[in-house]
Amino acid sequence: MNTATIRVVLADDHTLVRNGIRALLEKIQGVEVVAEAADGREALELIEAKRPDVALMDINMPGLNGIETTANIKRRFPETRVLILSVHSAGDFVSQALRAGASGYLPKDATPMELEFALRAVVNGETYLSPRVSGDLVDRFVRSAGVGQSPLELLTPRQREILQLIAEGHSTKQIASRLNLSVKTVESHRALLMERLGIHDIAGLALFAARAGLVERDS
Amino acid sequence: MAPVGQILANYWRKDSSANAAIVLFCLALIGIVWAVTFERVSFERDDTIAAAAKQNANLAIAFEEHTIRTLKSVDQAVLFVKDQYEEHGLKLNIGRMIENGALDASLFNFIGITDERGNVVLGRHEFKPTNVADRESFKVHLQHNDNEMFIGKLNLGRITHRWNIPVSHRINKADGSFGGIVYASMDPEYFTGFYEKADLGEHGAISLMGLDGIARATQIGRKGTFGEDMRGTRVFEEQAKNRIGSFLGGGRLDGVVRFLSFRTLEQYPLIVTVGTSEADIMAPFHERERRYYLTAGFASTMIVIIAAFIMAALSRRKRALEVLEQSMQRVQALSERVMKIQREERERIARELHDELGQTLTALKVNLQMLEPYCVGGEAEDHLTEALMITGRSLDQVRGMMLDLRPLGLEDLGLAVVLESHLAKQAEAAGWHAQFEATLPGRLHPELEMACFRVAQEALTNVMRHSHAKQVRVTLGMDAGEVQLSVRDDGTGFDVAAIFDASRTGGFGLIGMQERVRQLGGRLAIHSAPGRGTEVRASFPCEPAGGWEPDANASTHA
Repeated sequence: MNTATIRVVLADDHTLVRNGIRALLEKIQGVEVVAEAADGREALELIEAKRPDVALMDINMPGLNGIETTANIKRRFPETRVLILSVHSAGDFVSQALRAGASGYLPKDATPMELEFALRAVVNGETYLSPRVSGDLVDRFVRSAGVGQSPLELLTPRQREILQLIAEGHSTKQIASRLNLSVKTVESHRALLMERLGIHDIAGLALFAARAGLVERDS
Repeated sequence: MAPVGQILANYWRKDSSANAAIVLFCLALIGIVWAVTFERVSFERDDTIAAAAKQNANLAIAFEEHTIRTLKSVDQAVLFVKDQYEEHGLKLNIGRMIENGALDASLFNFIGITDERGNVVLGRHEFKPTNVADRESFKVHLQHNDNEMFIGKLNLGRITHRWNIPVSHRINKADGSFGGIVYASMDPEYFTGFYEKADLGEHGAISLMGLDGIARATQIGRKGTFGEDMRGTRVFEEQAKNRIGSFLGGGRLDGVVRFLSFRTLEQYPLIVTVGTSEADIMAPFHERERRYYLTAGFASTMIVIIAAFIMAALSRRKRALEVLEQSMQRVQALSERVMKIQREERERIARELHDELGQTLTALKVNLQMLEPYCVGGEAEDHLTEALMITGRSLDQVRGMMLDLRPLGLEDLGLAVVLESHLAKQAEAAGWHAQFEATLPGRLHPELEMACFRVAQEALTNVMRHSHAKQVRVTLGMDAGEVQLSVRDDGTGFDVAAIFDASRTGGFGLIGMQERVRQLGGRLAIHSAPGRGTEVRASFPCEPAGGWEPDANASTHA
């Protein structure tokens, strides 16, 4: 793993979001935001000037959108890795981004943990696709990319605990009484961990937990 | 109603080809009417003339026979008297012969016998001493020793004091020398009596004329005449060429034109002529002819009037159609403006939702997530989780609303990508097995992409709400220069007409879809039947007939 500082250019046309993400990035050890751009053209100019390791790129930007900007970056500055940060999570947006040359794809509301994973992965030359990016295509890319991190690391200890209990077959009510939480709170935890893992049903959760070694696989 | 002429003039300006057709048709019709009429009139005229000529010829034959019969009767009477005279001499009593009935006296006014010097020696009644040696008959018989009957020219009887036609025979003495003549004075009316019998009409004419050209008896209308010199008349000229003939002419005596038929007698030096007035003969024909012309004129007038009404009605209908067309165009323009305003308003709201609310919520979530390391375990994590969930739900809601208002990424990623993404999402929510196939060569005009997406979106919403489908297939392609969109499911299907009817008054779905397609000059077809699944198929021209509005779908970015 590269121990040098990861230099990042952040491109998003929304100041609030950009600020939030920069704050998030600054929390991460060994990551430096060297410039911020509000659109694709500005991003290209800044990349030319700063030659960052990673360009964090929104898709919807005025003037030149994220996908076209990505294609431009890959053509002109192939050493800069592009990580897409988008509100779109459907497979086709992802495939378009990857086809344009992006190395990774994250939802905009990725957790700090996931963002860090993703940054390190792309800097290492791997492809990172968030589990929340749905579709067969993602499975294909995840497999081919051979991402090292377990998605379990995307979860908080509390979420892992609840996932295990769910996988073991406990009902929401049982989990709530065992953890001394309200049913509503358990449901919120469950919804959030499902969102982070990109899994949409209880059966899927159980299968994931078994694969991750969180529970014994029965039969 | 405006004057027909003015309507016609207006109409002619508006639609000359339809008018030309109507006018030509009318002219042809009128032409036919008159052609038939003239043909009929001509036929009837010929027919009438032919009938008149035939009738006239027959009358001439009848008159000839009447004349021959009359002359033969007289000849017999004269020969009988001559025979009796040769037997009885001066003792013969002609008056008694008549009283006895041995001699029919109705044929002549007088019958008498002369001696060789022309003195009348016997007569049907008492007479003063009379000499007829200067008469033509006497002279002819004196010169010609034969047994022929002689028909003389008219003369005024010296005994009867009336105009007579003398009919006579020569009497020879026993030695063969001239012994006088026996003669009968015939009233010309014996011949012209035929006129009454034959019913020749008011202006008919008959004439008995000698080959010498002197009329023996003539009756023209009610008036009988005799003795005219007929040489130089048409009859006389024609008779010189043919013994029998017919022609139209005459009028020399009374100015009446007649069909005339003449015959030259075989046994006697006489010509009979029968004439019927052309005016009389042709009167019924002329009456019919007048009626034919009146009918044809009336028909022609009716044709013109009907044509004028048709043209006026067409003109009114055309005007009404134009007015209707104009109001439809106004409604359409209005509907387009409403949809444009709606589109712009939606885009504005979508922009604000995304730019303001969406980004704010995203930033909020990002910030909340940064709290996570400080809240691991315990109540703080629970609350953070709850806050994240609330934020996430709000983001989902905003995205859902945005998708309704303006499909995300349509401008950036294109129709195929966004439509596939939308289908995948719907399929996941509804549990369909979805198939998507896009074979477009490139990007379409933004407005066309939007229309395709909306139609597909509405169709998919309908599939989700009503169809209970298991499989859904969406295809997008280019065929014959048209963009073809098809959304097909294997669900319950429905009665298309019934839904459209309901839709007209209630729901907006299908009608809205149809309106959207129509505005871009496309066609929407819905194939469905209960239990047979549904296919919604929209075809759009790559460019609408009037081209794209320059300001349509002004580029907006999220």
